[in-house]
Amino acid sequence: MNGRTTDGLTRREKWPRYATGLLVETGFVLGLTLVALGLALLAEAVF
Amino acid sequence: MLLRPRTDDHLVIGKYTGKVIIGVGLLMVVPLITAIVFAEWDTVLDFVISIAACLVFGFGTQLICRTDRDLSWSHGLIVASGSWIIATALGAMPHWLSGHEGSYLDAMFDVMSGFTTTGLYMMQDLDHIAHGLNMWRHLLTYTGGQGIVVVALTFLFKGTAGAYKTYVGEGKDERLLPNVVQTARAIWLVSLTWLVVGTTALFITGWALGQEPVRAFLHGLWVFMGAWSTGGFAPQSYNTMWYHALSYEIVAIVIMIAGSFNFAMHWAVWTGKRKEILRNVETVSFAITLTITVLIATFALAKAGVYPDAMSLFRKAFYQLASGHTTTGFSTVYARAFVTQWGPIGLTATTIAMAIGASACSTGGGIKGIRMGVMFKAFVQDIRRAVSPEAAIVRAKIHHVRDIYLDDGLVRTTMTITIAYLSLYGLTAIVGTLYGYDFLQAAFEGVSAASNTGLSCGVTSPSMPDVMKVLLLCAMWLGRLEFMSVFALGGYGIAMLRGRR
Repeated sequence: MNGRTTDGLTRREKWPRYATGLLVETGFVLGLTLVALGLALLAEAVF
Repeated sequence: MLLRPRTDDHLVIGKYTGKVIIGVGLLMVVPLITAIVFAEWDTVLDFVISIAACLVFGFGTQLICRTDRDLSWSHGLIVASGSWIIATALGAMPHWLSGHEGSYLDAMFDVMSGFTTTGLYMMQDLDHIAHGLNMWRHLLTYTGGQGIVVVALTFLFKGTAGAYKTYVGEGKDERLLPNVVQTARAIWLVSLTWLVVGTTALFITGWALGQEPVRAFLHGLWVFMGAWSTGGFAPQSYNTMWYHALSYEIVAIVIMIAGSFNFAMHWAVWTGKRKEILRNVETVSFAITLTITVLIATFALAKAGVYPDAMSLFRKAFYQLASGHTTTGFSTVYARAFVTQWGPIGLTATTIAMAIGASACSTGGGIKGIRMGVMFKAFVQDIRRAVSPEAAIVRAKIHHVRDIYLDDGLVRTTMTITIAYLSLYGLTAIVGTLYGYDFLQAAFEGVSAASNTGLSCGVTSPSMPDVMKVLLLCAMWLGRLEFMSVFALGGYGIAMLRGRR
């Protein structure tokens, strides 16, 4: 895919924003993972 | 009054279906090259025959169905659903020719499972299949996740006015950008970027765990495709349990949850609206229902003492629930462990997670987060109306990229599709029970197929009755296309037989 065929979607100046978006999504998932770990620790403490 | 379709209708449907099948044939070039690289000459021959069949069908159809007419809405729906069936029938050829399938029905089951990103399979001796065939299995699920029509839209349709209509027929009705071909390309941009990042992360993890580089790369690529497409195929019969590594599981979890997000949400976050991920009705709904189902399963497993410590409990419970809720189907427990160890509560929590499923306009299946959000808000709105003064105006809204106020039409459409999913879940459970399976296990497997998840508690196997295989195959198809385009195809068939001239 180059800039011409993708209507400018892959222009170089856009990539920092794309990378930030990808990191935000990864951070969200890792946050959910930590919540699940917390639940497992709580369950171990209860039972 | 039902009108009998005219020759023109057949021609336009045939023409566009042919284009999609040519796309499927061209896709087989990737596994063909893989087989050549690894000198798997029997597999090379299998793919040459299969590509030839697709191209003969595709170009032959285009030759016969020459017309300048563009697609109408009903044509688009029929092309979408019809091309999935024909793509499944022709895409099954390499599976069947490989000798790893018990019958052509089993091969079709596996290909429909791949295209619909389900992940259930009938293939025998999976650990010893050719690299070329493994590439095909995972490519099926990766392209199926974007949508077969999106593939054709991007590379073959060249911005025709009717293209959007087939795109909608495939259950993806959101425009990320004003033009549908630009939208298809934006979807590919997100998917290919994640492909590079995800495959690299899995490759490095696999290599660090001791896999030799070529194997680490291939496994990284295939596991990425299985995770991102929420497909659940993996190169080993033990699925992702084969890796026995927390690091591999965490990377897979990140990819499969990201893969379950709505492409419109991805695009909003990627173009600067970072807070969208915390405000979007689908991510909020997903976070809440995932936490609730993980809580239920974790406490049930802890009470039963199935796992020895909190870390083991976290790894097994969260992985299976995240996999089920995103409708991926990766598993790190044995299929029968859902029955023998997880028990009715764990099995039910996983079934509920699968039934709810992922986001709309994503690679995933199930009822979808946006519908859960709409139904919840509509329910709250009705309660608020009941307790408010008669003259008060009570309006509810959801946030999905922008604020959307609920109206009766939106709620009705949401309820219709939700009831269709629940009916399909119920039907598969009842038929499974009639064939002698335990109700809860039949429901688990039926929901898994209809929500395009692919987790199995051991019901799906080559020895399953053919009627069950056909039912689950149709459930995968209906669930992936969200019913309407399949119903349109059925209506077209009835109109051909009984419609008025």
